[in-house]
Amino acid sequence: MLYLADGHFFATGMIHYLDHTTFSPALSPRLVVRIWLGNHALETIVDTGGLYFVCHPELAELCEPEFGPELRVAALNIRGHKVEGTLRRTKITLEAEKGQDLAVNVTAFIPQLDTGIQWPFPSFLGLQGCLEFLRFAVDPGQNAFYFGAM
Amino acid sequence: MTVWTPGYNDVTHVGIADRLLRFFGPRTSPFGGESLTTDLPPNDTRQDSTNGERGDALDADGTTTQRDITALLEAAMQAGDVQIFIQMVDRIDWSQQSPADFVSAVHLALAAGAHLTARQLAIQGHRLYPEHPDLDKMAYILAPSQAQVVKRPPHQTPGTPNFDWLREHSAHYRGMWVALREGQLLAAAPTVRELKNKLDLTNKGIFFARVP
Repeated sequence: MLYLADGHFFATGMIHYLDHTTFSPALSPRLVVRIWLGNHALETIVDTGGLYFVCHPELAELCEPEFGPELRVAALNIRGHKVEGTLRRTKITLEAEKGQDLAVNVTAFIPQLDTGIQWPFPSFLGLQGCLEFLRFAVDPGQNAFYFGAM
Repeated sequence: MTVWTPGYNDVTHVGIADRLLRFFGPRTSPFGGESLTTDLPPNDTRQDSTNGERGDALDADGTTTQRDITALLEAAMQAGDVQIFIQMVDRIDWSQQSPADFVSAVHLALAAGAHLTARQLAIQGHRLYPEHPDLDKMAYILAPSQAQVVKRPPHQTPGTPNFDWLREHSAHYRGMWVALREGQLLAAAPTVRELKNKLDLTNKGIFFARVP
């Protein structure tokens, strides 16, 4: 795995990422990594310009038992759209293809949509409340996303 | 839980403009006027900071009340400028504020888009009032992320076969939710609710995706 100059671990796990969501090859490149929420695997986009673990609302409904109490938040700006939703605590796991898994307690934002409205975005791993205290690195040559605890 | 938005009677209108102008000066005020209470006519006595019981009370001991704090932050939030909101928060002596001040301020910070400030307020409020249930919940939900290595034996990841399946079969399932395991379709349905009904969710390792 990856090491700091003093010999300590920088990253303890690695997963291969996709350059785009499974169904949107025409969009600009993304870092798409698979995470686990409870027993369920989800496709998420690494978004260091974003906040929180933004969970697709229907997936959140599917994984409801994985979420803690909620805090209503007025709005979060996601990709230029102001979205209302709730903040909740949950645990996600980055599953290592090499090395060791990393479980992360994160703040999740779950959009609340009006009836009949579908969430047009995937799920995101933002910085504050999610990736902020992880070590991570990207190797574009291998499509490898390295991660480790601080 | 819903965001608490103070109504007119919930906040101390007298003195808000004075205080904002004291902070930012008349030319730098983001509100473009001398008074924030634009919902009242100019001759309404409630706007007169020199003629009112509440105005006097605010200046009597130099401290701020909960209504005062909330009104200040509410005004800053409504200005739509997150930097102004953060500056307002930074100028308040939070060591002297009540749990209700912190709770209101966290809600307002989230509504204003000042998410890091919301976390800082929640944590500070929880440190000062660890028994307060709302602050306890806020500090828990907004806490910094914590990562922990999970040790387990190396294994073959099931993710890649699922992605392969999606690439090959997505054209047949557009608009549907699909549940896969190790590259095998378990169920497909137009909504999550219908998909849930087709699955035994106690089973581990199910991969979910919606085919756009």
